[in-house]
Amino acid sequence: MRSPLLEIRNLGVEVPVPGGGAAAAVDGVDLSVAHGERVGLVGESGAGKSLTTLALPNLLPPGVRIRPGSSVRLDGRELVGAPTRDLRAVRGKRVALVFQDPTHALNPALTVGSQIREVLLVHRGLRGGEARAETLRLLSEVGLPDPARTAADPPHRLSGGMRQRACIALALAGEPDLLVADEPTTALDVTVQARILDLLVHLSEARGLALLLVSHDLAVVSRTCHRVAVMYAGRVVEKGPVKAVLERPLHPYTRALLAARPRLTGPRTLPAPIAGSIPAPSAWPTGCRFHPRCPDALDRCRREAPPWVGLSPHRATCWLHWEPGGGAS
Amino acid sequence: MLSYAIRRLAVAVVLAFGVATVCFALVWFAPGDERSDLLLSGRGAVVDTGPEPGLVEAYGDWVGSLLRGDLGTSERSGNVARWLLARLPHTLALSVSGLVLAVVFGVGVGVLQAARAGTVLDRLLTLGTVVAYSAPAFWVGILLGGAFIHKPMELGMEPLFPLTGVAPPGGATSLLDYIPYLVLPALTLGIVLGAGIARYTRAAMLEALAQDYVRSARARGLSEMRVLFRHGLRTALLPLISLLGVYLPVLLTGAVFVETVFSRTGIGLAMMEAILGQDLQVLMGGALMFGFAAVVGNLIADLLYGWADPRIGDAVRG
Repeated sequence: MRSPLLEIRNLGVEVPVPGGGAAAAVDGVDLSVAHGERVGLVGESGAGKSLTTLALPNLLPPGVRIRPGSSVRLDGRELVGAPTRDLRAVRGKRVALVFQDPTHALNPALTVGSQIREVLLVHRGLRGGEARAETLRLLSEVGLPDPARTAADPPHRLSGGMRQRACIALALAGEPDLLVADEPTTALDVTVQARILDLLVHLSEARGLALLLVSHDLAVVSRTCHRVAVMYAGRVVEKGPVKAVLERPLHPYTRALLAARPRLTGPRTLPAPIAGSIPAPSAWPTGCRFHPRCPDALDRCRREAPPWVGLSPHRATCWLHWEPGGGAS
Repeated sequence: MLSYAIRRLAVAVVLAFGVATVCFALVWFAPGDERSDLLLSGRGAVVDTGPEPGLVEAYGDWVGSLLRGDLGTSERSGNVARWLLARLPHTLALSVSGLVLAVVFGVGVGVLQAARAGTVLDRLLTLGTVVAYSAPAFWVGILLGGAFIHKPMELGMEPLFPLTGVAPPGGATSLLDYIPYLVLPALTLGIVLGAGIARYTRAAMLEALAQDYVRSARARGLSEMRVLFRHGLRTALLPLISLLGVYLPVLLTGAVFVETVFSRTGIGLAMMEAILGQDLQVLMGGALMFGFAAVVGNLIADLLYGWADPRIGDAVRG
């Protein structure tokens, strides 16, 4: 079997805590993405999803650092601790990022075209007419109707959806193997969201591009991804094929996330919000981190971190499904 | 863009008229005997005969002669307009070179500080720029003169730069002859103004570098130089264009002190002498020129801004 494109092992990200010290906002995440595979990373705000994605090519904000002992491998090559020069060759070229807010992701003082040409020059050495032609090709590949005009426009003349398409074109400019999209549709109108997601799936299939899609919305992941990992309080609590996780969620948190979704079909029930919110990284509970909000918490959940249970590839960390001497591993 | 330019131009004309009127009013309502001499001399030498004109008549006369380019005559300096125009190139040379130095210093130091924010270097430069920003231009000029002219002379060496004036005695044979005389005065202005620009640039760069689009630029694997200069500095510097428009009057008043310290025969020195010699004609002429220069500076800044920032350009195109 081919080795995975991206392999994250025991990733920890430490953030400074007010009053001194550091807390692990991402705490031992394991995740892999195969070539051409689409993986969703789901969780509430504060779960550590965005820090996980920013840690991949080490774009963490000042003061935030990757914990020693973490490993991020791209095609087997370790990125943690790699010199900035090597990371720059990965950023945009092997791993491209698309952010949540397309309004602020583009430089307001430069035209869309010049920002794309910059990437073409830096990563592919294209200049002049070649670069201009490739820019137009990229803009039309992401479904922008008038590439020539869009290339000459400064970003503020585009609508939100068009801006996100431009950001995706910019991400494709380096011909990456992995596209990491952090809540790429959250800032957009609902009607535009679906089209952007369809575009991402289309690009992934047409180019053999792997996709790591971060979202708080299981519905977004279910329509785009092959596999999903659910994060809570800095850890992955459940992972598996999208269909299995959505139809037979093992972890109470995944179930709660599903119940919190508004439904348009089936019985007319109101979405059930999950009481409370994720605590700050410095105040994470002992045992299972979800236990204070878990309706089914056992005594043991408060004391001991839960083991992985379930049959590979669909697994979760939860005491509820644990059988002594049986399913635990 | 054209209609924007025309509108800005119209505003500038009104503004210039306002500046002129304020100049007139300051003199007219000032106490003392000088005003009638001043305001009447514009229309001829006869000032002692006839009844004193009223406010409206005097103002009309004054505006009329102003439009003909007549700033009156002064006993000490003769035709004021000619007197000032002859000195204008020296002041312009000083202002422009001072401004260029200030932008180079200020932007360079500000970018360096923002890129190294929080380090010892950043703090030392902050200390330096605050001191330079607070220092009066004449004091900086005296210090530089002391260091590069007087100290070498005390030690029995040739001074590094000529002490005073704008050109070698006997006149300049080429434009290059003016440059040694320009170095210290321009440096003085460059340091004082550059300190303010550095303070501004550091703050604006820090803000720009915290923007999402700078993180996105890094995420695309661009070099730190590209991130700093093409993505950070470019947006950070747009407001600097308007700041420079505001700086123009500061530059000119700075020139008054610097020209006095280095005895450069520019408009600033002429104004200083006019103040001491109660030569109101020259003083008013100089004030008018500086006022007009400020208006023109702001006009240029507005037009440049509309051209440099596509958002403003779009907003004014409507």
